[in-house]
Parts: sequence; structure tokens; C-alpha cells
Amino acid sequence: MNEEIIFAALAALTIVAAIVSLEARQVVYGAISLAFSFLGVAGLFILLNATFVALFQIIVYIGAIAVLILFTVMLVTKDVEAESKREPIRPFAILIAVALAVVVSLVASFSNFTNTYAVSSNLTVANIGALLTGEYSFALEILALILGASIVGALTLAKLDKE
Amino acid sequence: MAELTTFEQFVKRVLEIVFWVLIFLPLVILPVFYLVYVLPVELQCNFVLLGCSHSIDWATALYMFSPNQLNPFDPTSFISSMGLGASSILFRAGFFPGLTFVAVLSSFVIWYERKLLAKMQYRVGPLYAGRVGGIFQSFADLFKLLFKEIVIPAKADRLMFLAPVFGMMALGGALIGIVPVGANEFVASSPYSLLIALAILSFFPLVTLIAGWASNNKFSFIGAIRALYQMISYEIPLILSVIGVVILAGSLDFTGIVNSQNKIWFIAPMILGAIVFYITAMAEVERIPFDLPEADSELVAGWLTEYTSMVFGTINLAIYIKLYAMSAIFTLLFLGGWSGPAPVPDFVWFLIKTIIVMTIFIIPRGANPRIRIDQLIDLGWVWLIGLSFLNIFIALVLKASGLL
Repeated sequence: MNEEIIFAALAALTIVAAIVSLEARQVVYGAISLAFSFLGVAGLFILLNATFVALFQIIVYIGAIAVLILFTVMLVTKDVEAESKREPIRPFAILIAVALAVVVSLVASFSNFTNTYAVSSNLTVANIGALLTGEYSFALEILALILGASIVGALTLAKLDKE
Repeated sequence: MAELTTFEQFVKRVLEIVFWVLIFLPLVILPVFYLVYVLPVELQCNFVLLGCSHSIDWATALYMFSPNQLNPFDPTSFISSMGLGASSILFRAGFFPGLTFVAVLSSFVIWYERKLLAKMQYRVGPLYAGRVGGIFQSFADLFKLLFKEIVIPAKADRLMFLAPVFGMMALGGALIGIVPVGANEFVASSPYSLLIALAILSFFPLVTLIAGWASNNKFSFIGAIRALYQMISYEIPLILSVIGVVILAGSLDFTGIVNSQNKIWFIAPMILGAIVFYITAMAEVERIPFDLPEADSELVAGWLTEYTSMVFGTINLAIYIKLYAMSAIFTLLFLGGWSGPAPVPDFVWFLIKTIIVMTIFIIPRGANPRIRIDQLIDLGWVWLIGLSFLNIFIALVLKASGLL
């Protein structure tokens, strides 16, 4: 019961912050509420016993991605805020939204997955490391290769700009 | 107060005094009445007034409030049974390893820093407040800040201007909550406490950026942008420099890391990691030579320009809490934490080491100029990341060869 209340609060935080981040009149408010949305997702991970994932969600998404988005927004949109105005809601859009909601709820009600199960609490960092370097080592190497290639690509682009 | 020359003035003054006494007496008498008369009865009846005789057992009431029963360090005393003892979470978070302790320590460190820098530069430093060398200067500054007006700029974003005050203080509180002071003196412990500390540290640039933007001042904004550049250049080496210690200790918990240093302090094998951590921690707490976001000779006060009064004081307190936390983490990771010869309690050893580390953090401020932003990015991405990778390889070699 207690967990369900916390889950509802975290889900509400995540969804409301995500909606605000799309709809806020001031783009900076949107970027900040995006950080709150990431924080809600981190809370959901903690609720599933995946504390390690939650901490990296905070370090990577709030510490790097949200800050970079906020940085970009602050540099770019100094005068765009005043011009952006709300579009009137169109009936066709409402129709599509309702249809989508009906389809999604139908799919959800006919599906097998009823519950999300928490990770067993004896899954430690050591176990995660053993899994990553053992069973999933190929995926880890592929990821490292992609990241290395993207870093080389970014460096090449930066060098090209200078010349 | 004007002098009394006529009888009318005398009567007026007497009536005035009676008026104020009548207003203030209930504010004093009612709490005293509650404490002495109502509370003991409620405590005896477990807070159920109905169905309990209202006669007061004065012996029990006096026993409850006797000095012996108010001793918070005695686990059997009355105040401990109410959840206010030295081992309760309220006491730990609010007083000893928590906020009050760190705030008092911070005010001491501010005085110590000013005095030390003055000695380094052949000045006197704080002198008049307090008997011994201006030791109460920080408290005098605190009272000065308390009585100043809070000025919010007219063009500033009000909500976002005031949010960083609470944000900084909440993050500072979270940091001192996760950093242990002794083997048993901690607010919260977790198998991931090192990662939690790093996660909390990653929030600070967000708060800085919001503060600089909401002030609507070009100096603040430039300071905030510089803070972000600084974060981009030091955050990755900061996390990488810790990994060597984690590999050697085999634990992400501060307690585990300290316990695994019983043979040798990690500063000996991990000297490269310690240097990288020292430099990046100095950039993290924005101290000279890395005080680009504040840069008082270029940007007035950087991202803090528009903050006044206790709003400024609170943010500054949070910055000093961050300095304490970074020194404490350095002590825990590299200097064996609270380990030391037995008769001295463990938290005293921890404090001695932490204050020495703080001194090493403070000293460059007396002698060094500020470095440029391009030099900082070059330093972070070319030298510090390279050194921390070298440190990780050393740790792997030591671990694989079974030396540590």
C-alpha cells in the first residue's frame, strides 16, 4: 500500500513534469521541469530496487543531459519566448488523441504483463559487473566501439570547422 | 527614549508598559503553563486526557525533567525514550554529524581561512570581534547579514531567483547526510554512498545555472555559463579518479573503503588519483585558482552578484558545506578516514585529517592567480583524464598481482 502511494506520486511527478516541459511558455521552465521528470524516473528505479541504475540516471541525465539542454536553451532563446503563442486546440487533434487513448488502453488491458516486479535485493554492483563482463561482454564491446567512433567523429567535425 | 518632563508623559509611559505586558504575558505564561501543568499529565496518560485522572503526580513530573533524565547521551533517559537522544535520527541529522555541527565548523573555517591567508600575505586579518584574533568575525558577519534587506531585482524571475537558496541548502544537507564522520557516527549509510555523493554533486551546476539566469544580470549569467564550462571539464576526471580507489577497496560504501585501508592508506598507491581528485575537487568547490564562476576581479561576484542579505549568507554556507564535504570525501578515500590510534575517538581523528585537507584546499588561494577557461578545459580533458586512466591501470595491476 505504501509503495503504491509512492509509485503514484512518482508517476504523477514524472508525467506532470514531462507535460510542463513540453507546454511551458518559458523554455527555461521547460528545461528545468525536464530535469524533474528525470528525477521522477530515478525514483521509480529506486522503487524497483535498482539503486545503481537510479544513481546513474541522476548522474547522467540530470548532471549532464538536463544541464546541457538548459545551457543550450539559455544561449539560444532569449527573444523567442515573447513570440511563441499558444495555438488553438483543433477538433481533429482531439479525435486523434481520444482514438489513441482507446487503442492504448485496449492493448494494455488485453496484454499479459500485469505487474512490474522489483529486482531481487541481492543484486549487487559486483553481480552487475560480472554480468556485463561475462554474459553481456559482446554488447559492452559494441557499445564501447560506438561511443569511441562517435568521439572520433565529433573530433573530426570540430577539426573540419576550424579549417 | 525621551526624557520624562511632565506628569502626563509619566502616566502615558506607565499605561504603555501595562499595555505591552498585557499583550506579551499570554505568550510567555501559556507555554510555561502548558509545559508545567498539562504536558506531564499528558505524558503520564500517553497523550490521552480523557479517562485519566487530572491530579498531577509532581514527583514523576519533576523526575522527567530532572537533569539526569534530560541527558541525551544516556540511552535509558526520558529524552532518549522520546526519540530525541544522541542516537536518534533527529539528533544525528540536526546536530552532531549533521547540520549544526557542520555549520559551526564552517563558520570556524571561514575565520581560519581569512586568518591563514592574512598571515600568508603579511596582513592581520580579522582582529576585533572576539578576544582571540577576531574569532567571532563569522558570527558578526552572520548577524550583519541577518539584519540586511533582501533585495530582489525588479527584472528578475522571482521564483527561480529564490529557488537556488533552498536548492543549495538541500543539496548541502544531503551531502553531509551521506558523508560519515566515524564508524558509528553517520546520518545515513548505504552500500552506494560514494555514488550517492557523486550524484548529489552533479546537481550543483543546475542550481548555479538557474541562479545565474534568474538574476537577469550579465555578470551573473556569464558566471553561470563559466560554472557550466568548468563542470564540463572537471566532472569526468572527478568520477574517473575515484574508480581506482573503488577497484582496490572492492566497495562503493565509504565504510567499506575506510575498512579496506587498514593495511595502507590509499594515498600511497593511488597518488595520481589523489592529485586528480584534489584538483577536480578544488574546481568543484570553485576555489582559487578555479574560481572562474565567481571571479570577483572580473565579474563583481559572478553568479552570486544579485544575492543579498541572508539569501547570500545561506548560499555561502552551502558552498562551505560543500568544501567540508569534499575534504571529508578526500579523507575517506585516500587518508584512511577515521582510522587512528585508539584512545582518541574516531571522529576526532577524522576531523583532524579533514581540517588538514581543508588547509591544503585553502592555501592556493593565498598565492595563485586565476586560470583561464581554455587552460581549464585543456587541463581537464588532456591531463586529468589521462592521469586518471593511468591511475585506473595502476589500480588494476595492483589488484591483479595481489599486492593490495
